[in-house]
Amino acid sequence: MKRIVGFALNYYKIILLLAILAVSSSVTQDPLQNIKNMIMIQAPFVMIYSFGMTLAVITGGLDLSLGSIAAFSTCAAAFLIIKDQIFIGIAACLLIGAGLGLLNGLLITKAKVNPFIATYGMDWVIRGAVYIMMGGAMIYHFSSDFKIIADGSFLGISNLVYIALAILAILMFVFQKTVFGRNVYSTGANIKVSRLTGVNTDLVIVVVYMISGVLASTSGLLYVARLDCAEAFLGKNFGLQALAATLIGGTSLQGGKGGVGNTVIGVLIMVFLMNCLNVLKVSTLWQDAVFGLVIVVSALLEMAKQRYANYLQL
Amino acid sequence: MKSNKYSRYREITGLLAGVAVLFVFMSFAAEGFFGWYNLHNVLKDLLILMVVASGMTLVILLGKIDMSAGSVMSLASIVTTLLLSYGINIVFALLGGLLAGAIIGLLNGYLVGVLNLNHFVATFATMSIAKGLALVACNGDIISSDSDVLLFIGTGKIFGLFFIVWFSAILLIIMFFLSTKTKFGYKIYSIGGSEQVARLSGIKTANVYLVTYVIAGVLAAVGGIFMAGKANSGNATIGDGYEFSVIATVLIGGTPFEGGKGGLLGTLIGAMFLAILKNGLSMLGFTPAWQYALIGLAILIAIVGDVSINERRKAEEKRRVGL
Amino acid sequence: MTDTILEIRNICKSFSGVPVLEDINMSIKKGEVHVIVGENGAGKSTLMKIISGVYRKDKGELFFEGEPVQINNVQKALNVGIGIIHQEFNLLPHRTIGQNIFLGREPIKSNFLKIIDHDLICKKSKELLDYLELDIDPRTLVYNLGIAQQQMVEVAKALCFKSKVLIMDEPTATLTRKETVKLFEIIKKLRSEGVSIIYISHRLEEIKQIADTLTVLRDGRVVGDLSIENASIDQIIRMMVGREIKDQYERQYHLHGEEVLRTENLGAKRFSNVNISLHRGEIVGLSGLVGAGRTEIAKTIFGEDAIEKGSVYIYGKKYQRMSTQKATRLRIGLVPEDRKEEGAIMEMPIRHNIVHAVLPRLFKSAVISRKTELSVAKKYMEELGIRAPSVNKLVKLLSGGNQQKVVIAKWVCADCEILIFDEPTRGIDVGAKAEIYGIMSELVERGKAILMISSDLPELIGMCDRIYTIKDGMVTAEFSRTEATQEKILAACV
Repeated sequence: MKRIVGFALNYYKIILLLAILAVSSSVTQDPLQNIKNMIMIQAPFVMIYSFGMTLAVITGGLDLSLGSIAAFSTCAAAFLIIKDQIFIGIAACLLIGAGLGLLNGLLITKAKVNPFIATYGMDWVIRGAVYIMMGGAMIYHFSSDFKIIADGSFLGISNLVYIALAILAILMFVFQKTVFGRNVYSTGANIKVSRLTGVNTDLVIVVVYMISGVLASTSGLLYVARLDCAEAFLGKNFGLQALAATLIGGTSLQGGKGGVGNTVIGVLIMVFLMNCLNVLKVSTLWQDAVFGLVIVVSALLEMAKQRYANYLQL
Repeated sequence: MKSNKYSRYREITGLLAGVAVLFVFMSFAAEGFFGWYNLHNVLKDLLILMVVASGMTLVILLGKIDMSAGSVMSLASIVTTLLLSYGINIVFALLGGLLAGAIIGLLNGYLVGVLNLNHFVATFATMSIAKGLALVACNGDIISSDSDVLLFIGTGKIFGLFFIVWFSAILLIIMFFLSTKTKFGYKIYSIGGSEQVARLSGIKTANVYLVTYVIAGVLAAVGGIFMAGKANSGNATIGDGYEFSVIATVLIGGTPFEGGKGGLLGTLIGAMFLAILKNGLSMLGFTPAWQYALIGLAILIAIVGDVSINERRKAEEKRRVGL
Repeated sequence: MTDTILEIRNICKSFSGVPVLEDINMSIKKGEVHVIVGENGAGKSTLMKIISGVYRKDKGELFFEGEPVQINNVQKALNVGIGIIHQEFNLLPHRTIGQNIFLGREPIKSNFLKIIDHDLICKKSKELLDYLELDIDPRTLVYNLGIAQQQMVEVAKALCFKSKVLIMDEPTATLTRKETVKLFEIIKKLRSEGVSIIYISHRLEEIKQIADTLTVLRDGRVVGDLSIENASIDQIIRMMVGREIKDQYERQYHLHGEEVLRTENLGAKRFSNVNISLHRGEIVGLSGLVGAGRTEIAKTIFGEDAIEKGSVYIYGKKYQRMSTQKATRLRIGLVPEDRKEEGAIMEMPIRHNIVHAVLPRLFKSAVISRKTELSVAKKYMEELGIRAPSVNKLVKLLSGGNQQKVVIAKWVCADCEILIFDEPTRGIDVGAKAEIYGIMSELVERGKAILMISSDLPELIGMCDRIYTIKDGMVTAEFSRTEATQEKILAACV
């Protein structure tokens, strides 16, 4: 019994993934095509902004402003991109993402606002700014040079996958292999010890929120390229979905644990789950409730895991 | 010797002065602001905000938060109108709406108070659960109602004042009484002041969390039903983002996140401030987008202010106590 | 015996294997002031927490008025009639005095609505405050009270329970002389009414004034019961100190090198005008009671707390602002008192902790080479004798001594020139203690400088070249190795 519980708690993610896949595959006509679709097209978007959330969660905070950062930066950039200044547009988009992330970071480290409230408040303000900027309009019909970023493929695999993998590789390297990454983890695990060891913890946190902002605008940009439309409502669900994917992936809210690798699995679970509900003809209106449930369940699983670990030690 | 509660009185009078300045400014600057018709509506909005905020005040007094308030409003409005559309008696429809709020509140209380989950994340999750359930229940549509009673709740008048005004006033008096005069209210303040001290004094903290979150849920449901009454229809987006205004109301009213101090009187003034600001901005001709951003900014400033004032006060307290 | 109210028999208690109390026997008579003295860490507070139900005893029995009692929680102790005033206050600052006194057992008007009888609270609180000769409105917020008044509210809270035994854990630690006198009057008044008082203190000069009987604790044991008439301060100090300095402190004393650290009129939270200096090759001790400001001095030098007045000279260069980053760059290391919260990251493996401080210097390219990291971590793990199966073991799974060695290894690995040790051997078993002394001796022989804070006097005298004594945030004396004795130091600290 002990063994079964331990196994279940250690590998619940894989079990979950396979179970969902089994259910959806048993219903769809062409399971392989379905899986390909999910991995090639749906997962990369979710992955990129979920990485941002994951990094923030590793520092012991979280970033609920991902969606509005994505909307604001892409809408602003769209004004440039629509005039065919693609590179300047993309650069501006990423810069704006970094700048908004900087604001988040400063609110958290300097003004000492709780990360939850700070980013939730920023989400509100930035979204309001997008509404003002767009005034209810949309920007669409971008040049194909821009759209190819998301639509194109190489060797039969969508560009999105390459982009997501490249970002994953960079983040894995930075956060597993560099001094900065190590400091991020140590700050998240115990900010006091890190500060007393000479780590500039404020700087670490600010930079992480900037990276998170850049990742949000990157995924926003890809959405715009894919949908060929920049609008103020973009990314309404980013924060919620990213939090769900991060937590179910096994990155703990206590900070200092987990990583973007875990989130890949978390995102796959979320995407497969959504797809599964879709093929089961469950209304998409269930989305919000499912995200919420996933967050609660993963928080409970995390707790169970810890209790079990303590129990084993005793 | 310092007079008792002196600082709290000063805080309240300071807040009131701020509200008065805002009121006078809006009266002169915004055409159509000062006048019985508009002010009566401001009063109505203020009290709806206040009803929800009074539940939130108790939660924040405990040192916790309830992100699900806005979604519970939506859910309650949907449940009530949906039950009406099935031809169910208005009394049961209303009770159904309140029950929905109580259930979400119970879930919050259980996750936070019994399972000790992070209160932000737990209530954030129940927020999307409630929102999702509302969306599913109404299938994304607006559910219109033909109930005269519901319409009366939202827009009817008694002796020239809206029903909402009368009802909220009674509710608020009860809440004020509950929070300041009863054993339960004392427990809330004690736990918020220091959970450890409260526990050492033999208070069963889990029960207090459960009951408080249920109260907050029910009051949010009342707010949702008011909203449904105003439009005589249920809508799954009625309370979107409302929790943010509610939290700001509480903070502006001088009940800080750390819990254990402040109270409903301050929240009432906070509600005045926000209601006048909202109405005034629209009267000044700001587009909804601008209102959205400006109010958000005001709220964020209030939060940053709250945190920095409290940081300073804590540092000073430390020095005084010599810890 | 009818006049014994509380009898303690064979009480034992240990924390994570380290015995704190061994076989304590004591009896408290009705209407006496029973003083318990002992050095920091002698076990006084632990014993009191067991009596008042905060901790559970491992072994032993308690008899209250001749009857055996089981005290499992605070509520039980209060019901029996044992009240305690903790060292740290248990008051809610933003509630009124009356609300605090009646916290958790407010009188109610009616059972149905549970409405609090506010008037009764005020009336009864007023009576209690009058009894304590305190002229304050019970509706005043505790936040607005001074320390002494807060102390009195704690007393009132305990009295309101009709406590027959009232424990006071260092009640005068934060009081001024005048306030202390006041408190003593109250204590005498209570005594005359038959309340027994267990009074814990460091301040020996007070004891003569109020004590009826005296128990001395040392290293978790009772070393003497005295009646106050035939006890002298000298005798008490001798009993408290007791332990002889053994040769576990192997130090070689060389000539000291250049000065590496000096403070000039340094002042910040809780201390002022501190002038101390530290040279290469020497260990300098800071002695003082808990709360005298020792840790704060260390943290200010290290840059964790802000310097408010004066300056710090490091390698002869003047600094008026410090930060932890600057300090580590200047090769200063801090081994903090609380190693679980401030010393090492418990949830991370040993190797991460060891290389934590040296990371930016070790990997100039910012990329961590796993091989280098492993070899460095292994080297220091061996050098400091950290006993663990591998460098990948999580720190939280190590014993206290090995955890402490990981924290020290972090700074040794970063090649620190100035090391600050804050209570380096607290809660560590004897064997590991000796190893840590060995490490410290070796470090100074290599020309490092060590500032050591400790409440353990024999250890301080055994290890240090010079010792400063700190009292109420001021340096009161400086002793060289040859002049330092436990008696002299204790006398300068209390």
